[in-house]
Amino acid sequence: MPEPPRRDVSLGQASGDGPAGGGARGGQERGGREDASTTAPGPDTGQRPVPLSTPHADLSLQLAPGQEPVDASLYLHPQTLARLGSFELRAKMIVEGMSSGQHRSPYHGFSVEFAQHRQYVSGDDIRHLDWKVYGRTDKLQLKQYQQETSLDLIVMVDASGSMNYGSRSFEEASGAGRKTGPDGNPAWTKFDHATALAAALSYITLRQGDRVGLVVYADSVRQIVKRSSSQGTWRQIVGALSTPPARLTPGEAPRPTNLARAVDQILAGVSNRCLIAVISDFFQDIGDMRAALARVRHSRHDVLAFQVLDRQETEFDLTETAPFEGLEGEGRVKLDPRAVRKAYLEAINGHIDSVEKLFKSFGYDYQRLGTHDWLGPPLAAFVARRNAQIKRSKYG
Amino acid sequence: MTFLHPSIFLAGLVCIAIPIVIHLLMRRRRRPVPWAAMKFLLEAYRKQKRRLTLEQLLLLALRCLLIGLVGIGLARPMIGAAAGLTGPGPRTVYLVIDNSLVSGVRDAAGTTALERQQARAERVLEQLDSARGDRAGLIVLGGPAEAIVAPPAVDLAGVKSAVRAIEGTDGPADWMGASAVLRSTAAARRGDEPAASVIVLSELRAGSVDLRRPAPKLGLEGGGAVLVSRPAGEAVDNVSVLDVEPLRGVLLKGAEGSGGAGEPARVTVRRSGPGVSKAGVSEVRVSVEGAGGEGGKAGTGLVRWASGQEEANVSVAVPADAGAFAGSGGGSSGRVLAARIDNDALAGDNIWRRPVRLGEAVEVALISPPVGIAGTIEQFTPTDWYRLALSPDGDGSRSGGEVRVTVIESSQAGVRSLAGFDAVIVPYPETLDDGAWRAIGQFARSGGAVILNPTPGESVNVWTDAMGRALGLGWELARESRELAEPATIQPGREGAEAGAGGLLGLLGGELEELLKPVRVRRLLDVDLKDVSARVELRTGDGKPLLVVGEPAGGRGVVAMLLAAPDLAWTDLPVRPLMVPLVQELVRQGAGRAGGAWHGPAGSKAPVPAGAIELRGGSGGSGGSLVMAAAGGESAEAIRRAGVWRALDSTGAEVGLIAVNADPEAAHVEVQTESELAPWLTALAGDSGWGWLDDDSLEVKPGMAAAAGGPGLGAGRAENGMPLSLPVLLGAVVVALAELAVARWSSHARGMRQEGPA
Repeated sequence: MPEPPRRDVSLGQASGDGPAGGGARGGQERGGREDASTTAPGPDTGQRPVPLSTPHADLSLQLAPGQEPVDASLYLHPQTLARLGSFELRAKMIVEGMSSGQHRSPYHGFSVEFAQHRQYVSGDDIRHLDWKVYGRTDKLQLKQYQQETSLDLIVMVDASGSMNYGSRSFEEASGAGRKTGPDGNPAWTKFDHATALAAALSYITLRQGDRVGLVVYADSVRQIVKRSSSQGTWRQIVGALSTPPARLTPGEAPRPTNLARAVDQILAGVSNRCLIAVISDFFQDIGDMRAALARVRHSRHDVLAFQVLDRQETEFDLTETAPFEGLEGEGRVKLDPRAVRKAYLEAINGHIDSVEKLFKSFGYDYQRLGTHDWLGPPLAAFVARRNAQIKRSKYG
Repeated sequence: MTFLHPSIFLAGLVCIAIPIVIHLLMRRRRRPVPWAAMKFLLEAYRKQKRRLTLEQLLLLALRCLLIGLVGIGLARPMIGAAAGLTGPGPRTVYLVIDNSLVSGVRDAAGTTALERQQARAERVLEQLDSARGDRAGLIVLGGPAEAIVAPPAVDLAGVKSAVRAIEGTDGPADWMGASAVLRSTAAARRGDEPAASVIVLSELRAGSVDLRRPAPKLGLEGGGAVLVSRPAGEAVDNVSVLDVEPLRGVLLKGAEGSGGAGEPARVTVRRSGPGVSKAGVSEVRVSVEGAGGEGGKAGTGLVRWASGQEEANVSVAVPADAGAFAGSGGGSSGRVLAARIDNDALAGDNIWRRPVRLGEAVEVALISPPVGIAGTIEQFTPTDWYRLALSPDGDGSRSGGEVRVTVIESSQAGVRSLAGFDAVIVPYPETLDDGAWRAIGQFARSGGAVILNPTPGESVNVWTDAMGRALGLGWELARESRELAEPATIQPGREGAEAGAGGLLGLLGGELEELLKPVRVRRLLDVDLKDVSARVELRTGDGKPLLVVGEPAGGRGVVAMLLAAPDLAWTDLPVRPLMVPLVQELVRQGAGRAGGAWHGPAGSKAPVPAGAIELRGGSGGSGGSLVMAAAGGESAEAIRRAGVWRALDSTGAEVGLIAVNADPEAAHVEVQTESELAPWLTALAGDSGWGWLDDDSLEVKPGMAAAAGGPGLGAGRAENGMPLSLPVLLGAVVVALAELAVARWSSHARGMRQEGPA
């Protein structure tokens, strides 16, 4: 597939020149507000804000001394941004934002969008009486409106050992002309793909004026970028994902995934209803995941599940007998891949199906992404499909 | 099971490690593949682990088995063969050495084949180890085969000494006897003893191996290989003396007709080898010798060979000089007539001997009742006619004293009175009593010639019963003679070329018919020749026997019966020219033939005179050794060496000489090729494998490749020599196919193509 010509893409403006719509709903004034309850060492330490209006060539993040400058375009291809530019990430469920916005709030107020009538009781503000109803029915009815709020998106990125696998070359996947990732890995790993996805989601969210935060986890939460609607948040997120300790480095002890623990840690610090986007390969026990999701559900958070898989994992068309070594310390086993291919595919496909059913059983959206595919089209299709669903549920 | 190529077998065993080594090397080279979905891979691997392990082990086993089978197949395995040679345990080896007549063939360096084989045998023995428990047996092939060391002995030095002591024989190679020895040894083998292997050391010339005869199986029960030395490749020329035969059995001093040179003797010679295609000349010398080899002058004759001629006869006059007669005494005594040629490649067949009677005269006893002096011819009695025929000069002796006639009265006839005579004539058998008949019977069986005729007159012949008992001829004579209606003519007993040949009248040859023409027979005694061995020398014109010659039961004498009495009332024979040569030949040939042809080929039991109980070695023989004679008229044991033996009776007196000559059939020196020998050797080895013995090494070599395409049994099996080779290679092919199938199945490549990408 020929690479499309690059365009200069504006990721928004600095404070005051944020993405369209975001600042219009007053999000801009709380754009820099951070959730004081989340604390973790983040890559944003010492970062300087970078104007978002610079072309993609100037997307380099300002990092701490000694850190390799990371070019955001390594992960978020302008083509992807262009594809996602017209989409909005909407909360499917009711969320509780810190400001008014375009998302449904659990509270009814007196806002713009009519919700229902309620019988007047003493003490109500008579300004909300519906005089027209009174004129027709001689009954006092109050007009109630649906209160809309802003969206808090928490992007959870799995940084376990299994995410450090990729069979696609970084150069080909990135399209940025660079042969290796920031860690020197020539392969476009699932974590790279998750980084790109997180960047894209963050971009969409920030552009619509909502807050976005990042949680990098493996066996536990490893790194957090506090929720914020400020335009610098996007760079913080990409920077956090591009640098240790979020990214596994060669020689680092592999860590298994423990979603339940990470969820517990996150829920402990989140008081409002949020949209949580989980990006992982979900190579973990289904039961543990079910328990974690049950707790999320109990807290009435909305969840977007993105399962990132490498094509080699789902096709397993290797032909050479070789020792296979697990990335999460499972050990090493020498085998002929052709001999176990059938059983392996049965096992992994069964697991993938189980993961999908699990999320859908909780009413959450699930999207499978392949590292060999361009991120833009499936993500755009997913967002569009989701928004359509939201519209249908809202307007019947 | 053992292998013709043990080194290939060992190499095959080593090569079995190749798949394992490849597996280990490949294993070491693989770089680990990092894998994220290890959980599911392990889950799949655990499900398939047992099957995969089984597949891998099965593949490894099949590959090792394949290489092993190929190695075994190429190593030419043989069931039960050569185990004693290549196995780790103690070895048992039988050395079968050819010391038959043809083993005396000398090469250009003057070394005989036997000496060369002895040297090889010693080198083979040096490869055995007494400390290991190796044992060796020794069998010589010279007929009859003899087990020198059997059962096998661990004293290898002793066996080596026995090998050195082997002497050549003049008989044929006795493969049957060797087989019998090996069979008996194999039968006596204990279960825990290793199977014996046989190493045959022979040049395998035509004299040793007669390919026209089937080979006996060596009978190596329980396994064992047969290693055979390669056949001789050097062709040599050889001339053999096959026979020497005097014209008469009794050689007389100063015989007439020999021009003073002595009696003529006919010598038969044969030549073989590449020189047959060329013309040539061989000198033959014939002499009379005593038992000790002492002799007189030799008469010589030349054989002029035409190109391509293989056999020839030459007549040589035997000088009857004083030296030949020295010690012969007054009467005829034992001597041998020896024919010699110059030494050639094979010395053993350059001389041939025949016992002959030698004397100044033939002693004839004429047993007759007293007869008066005849005045006219009509008054001549048969006694007179016989005496007149034997002594035409009328003084009882001819010139030179060839025949000496003594008249014995019938009543005086007895064993003692007949002693010393060569022939007895009985013109009046009815005058003999039982005692006289017994004496005549004994005389005949001891090698005398007896000439009989019916008693003249018309009396009833009652003497025939006594004669039958005494001589045991088996004939049935008529009681009465009959007068013929017409005087009958006489003709030879056999027609054409057989007339006279081999008979007592053979010397008369073509003159016989002329002599018979004037003779007429008027009266005849009929005879029923129940004895098929009887020979009719003369018969009447209507086919009735007139002169019958037979042999007494249990003896070697000659009985000639003229069925018409020499009386003018019966026949005019006495007055015809035939009478003198007829009686002379009957006496001289009968006496010579009755003395017996006491000669035989080496390698078999020799015929001996009746009454002889002991043979004593003479010239050319194994001097001094004794061989007991059997009662059945032959030596108790086979005689292996050519030579002259003296037969002694129970009193120690010499009763005759026995000449043992080289077996002419064993004197064929023609070389035989490996391909010609292969079928025969295959049959010889039987179920055991066989191979050529090269470099005196105990390693078994396969039969020659040229034999592979040969017809019939032998060639193919000889080439293979390993019944298991083909099945093993076929098994390797099956294993290879199985390996391909299992490898393809376990590789799952086909399954991947069918399933396609997930």
